[in-house]
Amino acid sequence: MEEFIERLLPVSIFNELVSKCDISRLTEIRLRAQKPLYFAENGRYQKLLPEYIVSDQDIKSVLAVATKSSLYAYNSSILDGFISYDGGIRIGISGEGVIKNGNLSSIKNITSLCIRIPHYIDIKDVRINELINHFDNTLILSRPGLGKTTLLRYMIRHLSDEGFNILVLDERGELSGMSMGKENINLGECSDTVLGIPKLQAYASQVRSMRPDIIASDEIFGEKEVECILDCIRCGVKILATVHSGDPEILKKNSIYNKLLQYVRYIVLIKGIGNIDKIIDLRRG
Amino acid sequence: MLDLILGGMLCFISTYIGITGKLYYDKRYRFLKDFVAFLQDLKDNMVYSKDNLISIADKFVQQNKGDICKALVLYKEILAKGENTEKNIKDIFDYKYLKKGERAFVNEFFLTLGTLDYDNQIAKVNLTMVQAEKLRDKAEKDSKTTGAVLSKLGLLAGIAIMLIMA
Repeated sequence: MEEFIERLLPVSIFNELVSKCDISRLTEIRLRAQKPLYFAENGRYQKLLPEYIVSDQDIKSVLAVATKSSLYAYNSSILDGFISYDGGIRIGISGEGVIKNGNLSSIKNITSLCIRIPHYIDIKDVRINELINHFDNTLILSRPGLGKTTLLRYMIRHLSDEGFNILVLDERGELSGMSMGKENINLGECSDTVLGIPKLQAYASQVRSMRPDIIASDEIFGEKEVECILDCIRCGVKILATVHSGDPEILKKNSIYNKLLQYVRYIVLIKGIGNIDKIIDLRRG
Repeated sequence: MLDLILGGMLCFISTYIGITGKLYYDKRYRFLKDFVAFLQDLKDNMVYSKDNLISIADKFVQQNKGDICKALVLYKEILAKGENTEKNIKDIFDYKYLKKGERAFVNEFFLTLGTLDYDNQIAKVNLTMVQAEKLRDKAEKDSKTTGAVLSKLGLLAGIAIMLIMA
């Protein structure tokens, strides 16, 4: 992973990061034009240097490497707010929207980048191992940045190694870190990764063609996706997914997600990377 | 005898100068013609296949010849290393047969290429193509008129010198 980060960042920033943190624990780097650079080590944010201000050139340089100097070629991805880079690194972007005929046509003058670095962490928690041994439909819940995706990866790998056929819907390349057809993060022996295909399309086509036991999806969002998941559950496929939410009660009050909760067995609440808060068995209450 | 040898040498030099003058105009035209062809290729790829610049340049180089291809080979290399700096671009695209303003025009295009969002990049390619076509047409005219005149003049002057010396 370090080589991908080294290639992506300007030399001066990378050297400073190496001197200030353990790159293997780096989870996020935030570049905002004309503002200080922040990075997160295991989810904790720090300023790189008080006097270092991110320049427009720093942002252009990262974008040039991430897009192989072909920003235009990433337009559809940019419209979704991110660029996928090698090794499963996802770069969230924000800038100025260009509206054409009432629709967002492209984003120009990009001023902020949120570089998210994927991790595989061995989670030593018996409750998770129990959950894997008695797997049923599971949602992983937390606020952003607390390690939902990390736990999802861990569970995918272990369920997959247990012999479950897991279909990994990796729209942004973040779960598998796949680049050039090579999985950079081990997701186990029986996982099948669907890379770069919009999830809503993948649910319908891949369930029929790949016959999964479990579908894994990161950051489910909105009514359409929930409907797709309910269809999969109806077909007998189990679901393992993450949702941005700090509180399951809020989820229950939401009519869209409440429909999904009728079919979910476990809710995993986490309070930090690799740190499980509690597991709620909805059948037991 | 010595006059004849000297006359022959001066005739050769004069013809050489004329041909070199023509070559300058021909090379300038060829480069701008190929630049326009590259822009057309670039636009098609950007709009339809959305390939990245390295693969667009790669395909162009494989299907074409000429000095612009030599420059594009080097351009691909700096793109792959993420070293498309102003200096490197200038080193590659400062083609000596172009006029000063033409060089600046080509350099500026390659410097911004790949850094703009989709809409602006397409608009930039379109605008550059219109301007490049004008430059190409002017270069073609110069090659057919001034270039041809120079080569003929060189040869005629050489013959004249030979005759005078003889």
